[in-house]
Amino acid sequence: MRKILIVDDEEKIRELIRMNLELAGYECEEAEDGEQAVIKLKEFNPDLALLDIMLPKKNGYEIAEDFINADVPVIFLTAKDSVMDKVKGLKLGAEDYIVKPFESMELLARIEVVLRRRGKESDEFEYKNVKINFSTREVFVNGAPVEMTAQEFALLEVLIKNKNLALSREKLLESAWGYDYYGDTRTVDMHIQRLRKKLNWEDVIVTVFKYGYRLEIN
Amino acid sequence: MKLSFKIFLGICIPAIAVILIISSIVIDKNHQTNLEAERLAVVQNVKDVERNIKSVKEDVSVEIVELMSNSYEKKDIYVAYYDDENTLYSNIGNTGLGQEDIGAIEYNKYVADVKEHNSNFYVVVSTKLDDGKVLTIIKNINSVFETRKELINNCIYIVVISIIIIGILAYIISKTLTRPLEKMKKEMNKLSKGDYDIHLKEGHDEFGKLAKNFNSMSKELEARNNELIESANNKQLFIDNLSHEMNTPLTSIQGYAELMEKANLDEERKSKYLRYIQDESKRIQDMYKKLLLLSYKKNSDFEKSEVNMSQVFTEIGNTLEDRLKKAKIELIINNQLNSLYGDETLIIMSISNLIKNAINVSAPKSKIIVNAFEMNNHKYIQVVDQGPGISKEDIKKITEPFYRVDKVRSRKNGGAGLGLSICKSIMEMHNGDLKIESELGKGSIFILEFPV
Repeated sequence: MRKILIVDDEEKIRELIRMNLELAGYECEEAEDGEQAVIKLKEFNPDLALLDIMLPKKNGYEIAEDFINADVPVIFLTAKDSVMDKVKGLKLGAEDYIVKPFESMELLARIEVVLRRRGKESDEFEYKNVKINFSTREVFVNGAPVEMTAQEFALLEVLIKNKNLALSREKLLESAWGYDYYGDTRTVDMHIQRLRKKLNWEDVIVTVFKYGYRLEIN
Repeated sequence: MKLSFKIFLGICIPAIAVILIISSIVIDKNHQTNLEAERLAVVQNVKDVERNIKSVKEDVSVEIVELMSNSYEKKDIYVAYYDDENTLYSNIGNTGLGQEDIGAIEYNKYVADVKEHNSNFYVVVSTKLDDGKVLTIIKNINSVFETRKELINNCIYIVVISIIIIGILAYIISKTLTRPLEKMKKEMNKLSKGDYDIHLKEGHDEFGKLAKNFNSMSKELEARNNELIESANNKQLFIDNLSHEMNTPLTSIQGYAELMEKANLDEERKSKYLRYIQDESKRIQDMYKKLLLLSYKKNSDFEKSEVNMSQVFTEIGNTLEDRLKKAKIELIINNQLNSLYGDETLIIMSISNLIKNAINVSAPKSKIIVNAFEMNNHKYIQVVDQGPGISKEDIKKITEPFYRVDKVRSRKNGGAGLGLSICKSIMEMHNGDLKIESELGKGSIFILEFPV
């Protein structure tokens, strides 16, 4: 399991991020100020760090160097939204810069991009009877390969990346088909039905009433 | 035109003009004197000849004239002697002048004229003798004109040398006079480029005084500029802080609402997150109210009246009772003020802000003492705590909006870091002051000072 260190001085924000990341299958550890963050860097040895900038004791810019020197990718997650701050953060060597308030999907997507770039994102996903290889785009059910259309695979990928989070039909359409796709949301339902059948995931892909779908993984 | 060039011309032109005028006057005067001397000399010659003519018999008068004329000829003096019709004697033909050049002749008058003929100058003097004969003496006076010419030549020579000397002097003077100006110009350029480090040499003359004013101006400008930069920085800091302070609860509200919508959460979690959302909304509301109050100062249409202080303290005691009990802190109020002129709500707010701060920093079982009294034309309200005290650097910044001495703890107590800024604003609205005395480890005293 990939490990993420959350550094923020606000307890509720840390808990919020932790909830989102744990649902997506990450292991999390928290630090409430710059000094604690540096200690946790050594103890916890995370795969990625989410740093706030305005922190007590040592600010995010100051500690970012420690993380980057230890080859831990850094994403700034901060309320400071000026271009100068972003440039400063990215120049320091941060992988990304996310401004609060953020959407969980965006946060997860950006974390994944960074981890994949760093080669820390695994190419494979396995749950129950299903095994998926993202780079070869192969899907196995009980060890036997299953044929997937490109659209079905894209939808499955979005669901897995946002596991345990409900995704609205519109969001799914937008993420799996693209912004410029003028399809009916029924299209989503049809593809979900096919996925459930092909993967035998009738109870894994849960329908969220009047909203959309959620991939439930325990 | 450059000032130095103007000064240069201003010295050169009048000086040269004066030299020219004086020398021409001198030359002319000299010339006139010489000319006059020649005239007199010729008149004297005429008189000499006349006297000799009169002293001899009439028939030898011509010989006498001839005799004298011969002796005069060496000196370039020529004589003519005639009666009504005939020329009795004349050698004036040598001069080229004729009878027609001789002016009006009267008895016993000696009229001296200056005539020019073929670039030669002559003094012509004639007189009519008693017997009606006319005696004329002409003298060549080229030497007088040559003297004048020579003088003029010398003068030109002198003028040219003077012009050169005056020019050099004028140049040096103009440069010396304008040197401080040049220096000032350079410094002005520096100033216009934003370099305020200017030290001109000060003195007691006009330039020295100007330099003094200039130095103080640049200092003043630098101070103003720094003030502006500081205020811009403060504003930026305020906006940064505000965006951070607003964003934090907003992030929580949005994030938890999204999480509740999307994730499959148990009831316990759900109610916890709902509570978070409520808490954070209240925090935004609270901050919004405080910010409004901070900007309220600018409108400052609040109502002032005589506020009964014992009522104020009773009210404060009542509102803070629960908080004090929870924190196990004793509040002691020594009120010697009957009333205070100001806005009641704002006065209560500032005092309770200070007491709340004191509660936040006080350990359980400690005391908070509030003294209200009048002294030296001021009314004071002191809030004394036995907390950890505040460092000198923190005291300077403590009234800045969003500044927190202990960031983590203050947040947990629900503070936005605006309380003391508000107190300060309220005191400014009352023409008063907020003073802070503190020593690390011994506690702090916050003083509200009202004018009477």
